[in-house]
Amino acid sequence: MLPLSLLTAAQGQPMMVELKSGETLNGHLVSCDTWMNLTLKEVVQSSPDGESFVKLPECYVRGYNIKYMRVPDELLDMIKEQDQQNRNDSRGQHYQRNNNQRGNFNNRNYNNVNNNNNTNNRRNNYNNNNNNNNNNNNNNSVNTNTNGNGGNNRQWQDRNNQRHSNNKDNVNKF
Amino acid sequence: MDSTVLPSQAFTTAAALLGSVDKKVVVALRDGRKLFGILRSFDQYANLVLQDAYEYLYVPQFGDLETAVYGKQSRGVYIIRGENVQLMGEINLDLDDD
Repeated sequence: MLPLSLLTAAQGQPMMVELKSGETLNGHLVSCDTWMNLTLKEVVQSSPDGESFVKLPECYVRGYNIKYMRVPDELLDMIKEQDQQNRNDSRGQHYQRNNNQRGNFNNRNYNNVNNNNNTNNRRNNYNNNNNNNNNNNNNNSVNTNTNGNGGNNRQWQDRNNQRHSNNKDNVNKF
Repeated sequence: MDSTVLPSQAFTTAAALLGSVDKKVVVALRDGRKLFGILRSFDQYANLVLQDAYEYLYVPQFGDLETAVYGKQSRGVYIIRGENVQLMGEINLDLDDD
């Protein structure tokens, strides 16, 4: 994983930061950002020559000033395990998704399997999207679904309160 | 001695570093430190993650510079900010003493 991802995963862990000036900061990582700016807590700051020490309850380090950081060995092992697990999980999901979409060319909903979060539908469907929610839940369990109501369906009402939609296929086969 | 054939994209940083991942490397920092370790990952700024890193501390002998002494100090996992790296190279394990 990327160095900054490793750093983000190290939140809460003790670490040692050496700055370009040679000062070292030993403490627990609270948070970090994309510029490597850090906030640490329970910090012991040592001078470059190692002679003087300062204890700080909290500390902010600008990423630019960092020379390097040292983290516990166990952290890397832990992260590798998590990575492996995630990769195995997502591999399973990928295969399931292909099964659901076999022969289903109208359905442009790419998040079939783990679509507990229906943000795609919420964004595109200006009306009540209960239908879509139901469809997505069914996609998880049933293979054949020629529905056009998932994903990018748009429905609107004209002045006569007639409901229109831009999908030709309004029949959901379950 | 085999001659290594360089692929054409080997002159980009990313491609060059990619070949060194999970290999033992030496990293010379701008402050003069020499770190050895297994390169685990990198990014576009050449920030490096080094595992099982150790530092060779060079102590020149007084008078007789031939018999310089090295101290080896193991340091665990390093995340090195890319701008502090002077150079990095892959270590040929066949020729390595450790």
